[in-house]
Amino acid sequence: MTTNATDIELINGCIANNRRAQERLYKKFYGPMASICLRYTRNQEDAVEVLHNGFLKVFKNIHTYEIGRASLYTWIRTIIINSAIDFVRARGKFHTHIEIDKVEEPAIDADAVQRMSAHEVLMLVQQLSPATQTVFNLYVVEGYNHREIANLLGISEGTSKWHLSEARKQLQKLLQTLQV
Amino acid sequence: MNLKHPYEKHLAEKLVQLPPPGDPDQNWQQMKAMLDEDMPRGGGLLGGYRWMIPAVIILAIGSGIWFGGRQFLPMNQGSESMAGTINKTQNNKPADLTISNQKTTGQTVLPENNTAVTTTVPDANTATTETVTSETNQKELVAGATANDAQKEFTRSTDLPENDQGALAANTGKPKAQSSSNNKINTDRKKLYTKNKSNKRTPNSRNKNNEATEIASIKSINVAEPVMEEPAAIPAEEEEEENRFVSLPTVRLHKPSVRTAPKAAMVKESPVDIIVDYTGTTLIMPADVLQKNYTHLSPVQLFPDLAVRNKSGRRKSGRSYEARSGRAIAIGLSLPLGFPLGDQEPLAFNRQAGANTISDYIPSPHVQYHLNNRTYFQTQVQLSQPQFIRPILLYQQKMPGSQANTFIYNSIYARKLYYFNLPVSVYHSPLRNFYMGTGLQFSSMLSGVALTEQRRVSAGDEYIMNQTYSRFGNDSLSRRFNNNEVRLLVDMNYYWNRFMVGLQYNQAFNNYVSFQVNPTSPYIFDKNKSLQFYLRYNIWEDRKRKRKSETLLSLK
Repeated sequence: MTTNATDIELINGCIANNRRAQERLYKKFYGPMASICLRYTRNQEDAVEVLHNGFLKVFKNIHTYEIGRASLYTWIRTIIINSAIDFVRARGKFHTHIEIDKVEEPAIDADAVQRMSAHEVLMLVQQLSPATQTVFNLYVVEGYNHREIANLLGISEGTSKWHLSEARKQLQKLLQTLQV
Repeated sequence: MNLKHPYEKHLAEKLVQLPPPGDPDQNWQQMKAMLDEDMPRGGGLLGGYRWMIPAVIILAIGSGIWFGGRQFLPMNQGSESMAGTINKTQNNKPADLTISNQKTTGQTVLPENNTAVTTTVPDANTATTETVTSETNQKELVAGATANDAQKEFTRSTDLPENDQGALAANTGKPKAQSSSNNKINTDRKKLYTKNKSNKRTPNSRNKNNEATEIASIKSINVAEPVMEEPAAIPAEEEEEENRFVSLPTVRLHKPSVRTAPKAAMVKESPVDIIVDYTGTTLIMPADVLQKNYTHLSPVQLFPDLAVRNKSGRRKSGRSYEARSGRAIAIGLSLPLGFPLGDQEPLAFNRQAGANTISDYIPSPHVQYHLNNRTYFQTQVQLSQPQFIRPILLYQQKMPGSQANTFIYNSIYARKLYYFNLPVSVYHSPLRNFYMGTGLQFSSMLSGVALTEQRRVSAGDEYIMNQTYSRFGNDSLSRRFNNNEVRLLVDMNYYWNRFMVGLQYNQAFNNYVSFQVNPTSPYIFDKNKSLQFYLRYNIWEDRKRKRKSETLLSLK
């Protein structure tokens, strides 16, 4: 998703604190950003709260957005993810002292996952603990590596690996429960 | 490295395809409420600058009016400042001397109008006034000659009712006549002050009639001697406008002793004792004194030291008229010349980053609204005004050079900005032709001049490889600036013959720049400030001039 002329017009309108431009920008990116928020939270209300906090940051800091560096989508997504992390951090502490080098890789049937709907997958992920859910999302969905996750969350790489391992274990159990 | 299992890829795909929760339109209302709270656009009580700007302007105007002399005080209220009882014996005052010297030129005969005036008295005063006119020898009433002229002029200008003119006439009569009048004269001072029934005064009801009564009472001035010996005269110089319409206090002049000296001697001696009473009640003269009208003399002329003491009070009463008479509009052009202040650096490039800076000195139109000769409001439209700034680093890129330990820095600096300015200010003159003012200025950034520089740094040595000046505006560079701001301005100028020369200083309330070039660099922030020398010329002034040489502001 690249920044086009319409986006520039929207950006200028948002810089001028124009409500109409802000509304258009909000609705344009509502779908993908709300989905992101939903992945990091437990319910829709929390997701909307994270979304609105993120968009507020977007509107407040949109004058700092530089077109050449990244697309508007990427820039907004980064802010929304950071807002989600802040939200999770405010509600539960991450374990920062767990150090593991190797993690056990539980076996999960890919076809079973393939057959599940998006909503069912979301239900699975939302049953993870908040910190583990965040690390899982960052690693699996957003594509960050452990070092980046460690920097984002303020934890060690080992802790990040541990959370990912925990996520996989829990998901395996949950999938087995569902299949049973 | 991010290693995913196959099932995790499926999970990611499914999670990305999640349908968004809720309705965007409904959630936007929630978002909008948050925005209205955190980023208000105005319209409400706490609507950001939209309510602040007019509020501050109103505050500035209000303070300007306050310091400018309270022009909106009514005339009546102004005269209240003279309240109080002051007894003053004035000896050797030039007022009387002027009368003796200048007042006898062919004016020993009372104008016939005087009689006409006096015969229109109501019943209560008719006997008195007729007696006065019949008994008063016109030759004797030397003082009345010119004084009555002034009195008539005064009466006309204030629309004095006939009733009151009659009262006035009653006061010009001789003691014998007055003794039979409604306003009985008693030598007892406590009984000197009586009230005309038709012109009763109450503290809260000051109608026009009462004003006239007050004015009439002011005109009652007694002189013990026959007027032949004390001819009155109007001073040669014109009275000042503001003094002519001041509600004068009640004045009694008592002749201390009978003087038979020639006029020249009278000039040297002190002719009168003046007792001033500021109670404002109607004064009836004692029977043994002759009345004389001194209303052509201003209070300042009569009592200069008293005028100094009551300066604030006099100002109140004088300005109410002045405020009404001095309003005017002037339109002209201003030629500003800005100077760099503090760490600001001048730049000899114009708004298009060209070398010719003549466009920086385009005159801007101004409009002045004069409340009176001391206070005026001014607004101005500066379409593209240069603003000197210190060099602001907007962008920097560090690249490795061709050699080891060599880096190339590509930097962009903002060097000069151009603003649209809309100042609104109020001015007051503490000294003649010298004005001081303050106000607010709305400034909106239009464009700027940027310096693009390429610098090579190698082993501690720096080499400038390239420097280019260019215009920027409405782009990513200009978005780093806070485009709109409000500034406070202070101004002082000297007015001479439609020209004004002055200095103006203004400073913004908020920062025009506040950002980090990159996350590791410190914040850059700065406020705009400007010092301007200017030359203004009023092309058009709508006020009528008394004399050709007078201009709008020299009429003080």
